[in-house]
Amino acid sequence: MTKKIPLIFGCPSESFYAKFNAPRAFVAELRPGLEGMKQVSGELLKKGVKPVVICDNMMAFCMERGLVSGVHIFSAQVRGSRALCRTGSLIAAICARHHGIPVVLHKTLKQPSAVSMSLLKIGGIKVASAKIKTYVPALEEIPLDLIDRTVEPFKKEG
Amino acid sequence: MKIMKESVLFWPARLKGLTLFILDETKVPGQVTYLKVRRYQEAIRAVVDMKTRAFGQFLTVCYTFILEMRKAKGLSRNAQMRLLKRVALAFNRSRPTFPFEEVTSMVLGLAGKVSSSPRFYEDFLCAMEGFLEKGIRAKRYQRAQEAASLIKDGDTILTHCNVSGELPLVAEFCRQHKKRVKFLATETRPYFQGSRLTAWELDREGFDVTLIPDNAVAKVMSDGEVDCVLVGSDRSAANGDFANKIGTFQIALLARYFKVPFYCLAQSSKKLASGRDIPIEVRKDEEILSFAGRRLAPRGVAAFYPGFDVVPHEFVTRHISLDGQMTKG
Repeated sequence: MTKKIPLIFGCPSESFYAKFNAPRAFVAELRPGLEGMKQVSGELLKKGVKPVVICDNMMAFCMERGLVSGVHIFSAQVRGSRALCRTGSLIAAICARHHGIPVVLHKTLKQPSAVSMSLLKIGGIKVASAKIKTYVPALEEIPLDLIDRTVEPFKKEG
Repeated sequence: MKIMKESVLFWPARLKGLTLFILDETKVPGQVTYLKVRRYQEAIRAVVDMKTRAFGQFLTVCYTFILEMRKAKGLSRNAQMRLLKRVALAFNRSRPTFPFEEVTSMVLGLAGKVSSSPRFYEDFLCAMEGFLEKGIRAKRYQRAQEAASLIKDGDTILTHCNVSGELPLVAEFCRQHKKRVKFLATETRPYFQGSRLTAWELDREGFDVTLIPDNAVAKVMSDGEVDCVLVGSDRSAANGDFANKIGTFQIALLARYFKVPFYCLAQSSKKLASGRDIPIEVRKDEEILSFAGRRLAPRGVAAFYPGFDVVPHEFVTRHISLDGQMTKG
């Protein structure tokens, strides 16, 4: 893998797919629901884009090796100087800033809910004991100063 | 040295007679079962299939030399040395990131030292067994104690992957010093060593552990929920860079951004000048796209699976090495 390609972290809206024209893209899998691996990759395939799935913990490695051209994250809401995004977007933004990679914020309607996000299974298969405590935050705030470009105007709240 | 209650992951291989028992870490926590290995080729297979990992690989190499030497009792010294070299070569070719060559060179060096002894066979086995039990086990206890000394009462420690049973030992040393600690364990995709091994062993020993997805590390750090990071390492370079399970670099970078101390349980090595020289294993994309034989992704989707990453030394607050030294990153 030698050519730089974009990295998608989160669940885009239709308008993103309609405009996206890269031949290949890294797609973060998005644990625990795997929406990145399943829905986002599926949508990209329909548009003729080849998705290359990575685990959520591989973003910094791909950036450090010079494989990422830009990072796309998604938010339904901006409050003051912060965008509310899918958890993990903050990792993508901080790592991108460290590596000098542009971060683009897109508007989405698809915000994840914390309901039934179980870490104890993957694809219905148990991976950890039911006794283990888990913490699965669905959303986190991204300071807007980590964002290089906002694609669609957000109605600012707060 | 007082032996404490150890996690099964602390010493995940044992040799009894002419059989090497290797803990099948892919089956934990559902089952604690051991692969029975009687030939070095079977030990190599266990390594390649990731049935054992990290410190388990180190033990597997050492015990396989002992096993093959025991089987070679009665052969000439030259034949025994040739056999040891054959075993070394096979391990050196097994997986790229773990420093098999450093371990096998050390064993061959030890064999070379006693090769002129009239009791070569006995002296080699005695040296190897002493090296493991009195050397390595004692050093790991010492390293866990040093790590515990860095942790304060009430701290929450974030960890990644699995440190081969050493984390419960660190927690136990904290408990002995009346320090209450909590752990946040990342699940560590794609093999879930955090979910299956770390969370399981800490919970089993009665320590407070919460499992988080790999993507929640910045969230818990930005919320001020992490007092320090403590991880293991698979390979170190002379300048203090180290390789560990994929995701470790990301955590180190975030720790620096959020000013959280980052500690690494390391084994110092001078073989490689810097982390740039550490080869990174890229594994099959199916290992991300499927789990336990069940396909997770739509057909036509590709994946990229680097097994390890490298943490530059400047991201490390303290290396806690096997020789008990703590060095600043």
